[in-house]
Amino acid sequence: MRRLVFVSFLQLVGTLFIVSTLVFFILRVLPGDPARAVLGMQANEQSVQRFRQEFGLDRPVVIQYTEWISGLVRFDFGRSFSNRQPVAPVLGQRLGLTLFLAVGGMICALLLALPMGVAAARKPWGRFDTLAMGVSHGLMAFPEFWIGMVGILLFSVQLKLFPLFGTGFGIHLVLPVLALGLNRAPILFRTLRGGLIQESSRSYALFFRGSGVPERRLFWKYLLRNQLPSVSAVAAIQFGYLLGGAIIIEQVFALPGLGRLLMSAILSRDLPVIQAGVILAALAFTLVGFATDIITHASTSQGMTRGKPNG
Amino acid sequence: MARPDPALWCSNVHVRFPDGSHPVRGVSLRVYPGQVFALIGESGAGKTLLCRALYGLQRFIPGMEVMGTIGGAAEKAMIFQDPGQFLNPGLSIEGHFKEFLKLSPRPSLTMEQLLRYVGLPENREFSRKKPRLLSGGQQQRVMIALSLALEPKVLFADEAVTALDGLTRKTVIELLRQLCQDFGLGIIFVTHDLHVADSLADWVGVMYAGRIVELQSAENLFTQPLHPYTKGLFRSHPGPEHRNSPLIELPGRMPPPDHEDGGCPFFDRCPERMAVCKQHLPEMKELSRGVSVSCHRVFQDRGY
Repeated sequence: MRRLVFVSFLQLVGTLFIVSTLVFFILRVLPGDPARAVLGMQANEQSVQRFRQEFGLDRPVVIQYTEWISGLVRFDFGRSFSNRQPVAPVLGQRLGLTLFLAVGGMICALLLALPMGVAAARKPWGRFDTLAMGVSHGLMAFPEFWIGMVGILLFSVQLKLFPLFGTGFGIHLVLPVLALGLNRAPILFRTLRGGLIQESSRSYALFFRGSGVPERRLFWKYLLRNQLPSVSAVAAIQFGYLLGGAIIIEQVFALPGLGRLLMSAILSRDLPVIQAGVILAALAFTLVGFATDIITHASTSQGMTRGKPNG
Repeated sequence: MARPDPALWCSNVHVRFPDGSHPVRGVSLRVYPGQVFALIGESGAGKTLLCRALYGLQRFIPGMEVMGTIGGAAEKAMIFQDPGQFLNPGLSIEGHFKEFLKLSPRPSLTMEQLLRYVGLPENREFSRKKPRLLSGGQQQRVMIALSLALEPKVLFADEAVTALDGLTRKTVIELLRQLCQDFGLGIIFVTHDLHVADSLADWVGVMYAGRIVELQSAENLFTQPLHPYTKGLFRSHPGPEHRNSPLIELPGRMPPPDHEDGGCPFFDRCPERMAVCKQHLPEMKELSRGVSVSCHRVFQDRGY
């Protein structure tokens, strides 16, 4: 386990280094002048030059890169081109809402998918399973922004159950969280259902059943437990998609999260904000992957640490 | 001395599936406490399905329908070929025993006693291992010990030593023999390995196309086989006696499990066939005490 943590940590640092380097150079080779993009095409040459000097854009790219990387080590993402404020605090403020949406969406997806997956797998191709498979087909076909828009029309405009917009962490976040959760639940549902049906047909299940282990006990204690690592691995991957989905959902519901900040930064070529946003996303993906590795290792290879193979 | 009641008996047992296959057809047999009854025959003869039907696994096998009468002790256990597949990969050996010891109404043996009995280490380091860390022989012994935890009167062993190497196979065979003596178990042992059947069984039933075609004591069967199929099976089975003589392959193939009942199912392959064999299915007749066979040629030769 220690080795896994150490290796995963090295992978995390390596991934972040590669991502930060790639994003830095890709943004620098894109056509167009960030100073002109921020100041406008009508800005005079003097103010453009002053802007370049202020943000070090007039220096060689390698020097800019070295300063950027050394700043990263101190969690200094630089200053925003648009408002000249340090990027880190702004990102911190916006990240909270985006994480809330992603985590809320994941909880919502799990709350829907786990009981449905278990109920469907108990009687494959029974009435509930057929219905749940149909619903999951439908939900998979629609993107989260479409589900969000339908949610706004139905629950906010028609039924007036939820406010259209709002600030802070209030009831106005229910619809965006639901939209994200409903979009991700089908994958988790199908993974669990398929895994449980396959697990149920494995030879050990026949041995246990034949020996008299009650079906309910076999299902909850062994079949489900053996499937949890694969479900948690899929959930971790889905969490990455949820972060991406949250960025789009923020646009639909006009929420001031990381996504909207990044969108406006991309449009205005605010390079420090884009760089920091990409690194944050990479960090989130890598951390989730790291957590999944630990969970999978702990639940599947426990025996490996407790002895050498015999025979 | 009166013979004890059979640990397991069945009469006219059939197994059918919805696709029309009928892999077990009218099997009757008796297994007595302390004896090993081996079921031998080619792959696809219906041995495993008969075993599963007698054990009662049809509840868990979709579409499997069992007809006929099955009696004897309710306390049954089963061990399988490839034990690694039949142990829960996510559960330690100790976890398996905790579960199985709960299934016995009055568990009289502990995990340590059971492990010791089957010749495995009783220490915690071993019992905390996951099945995949054990060798094939250890896995099979764990499976036998788990079955003993159920305190059965009948043990079904389906190709239980097939996947094991020679030395481990011998150890497991000796262990099964020991079980019969110590616990008075009746064992139904499915195998297509005639040497294993010879070294372990008291009684042998030869299965062909879903039926038992010959039933004898192991001693008699391996010295004086009666049914042409049994003779062919012995001639085609590799053994030390074939060092200087070639194996004689049984010609043709066994009829599929959905074949129509008509004459003798071995007719096409039989070197001793007669006209009557094509028309009439031979019934199982007891020729003498403990010797039953289903063959028109044998009936004719012996005046039945």
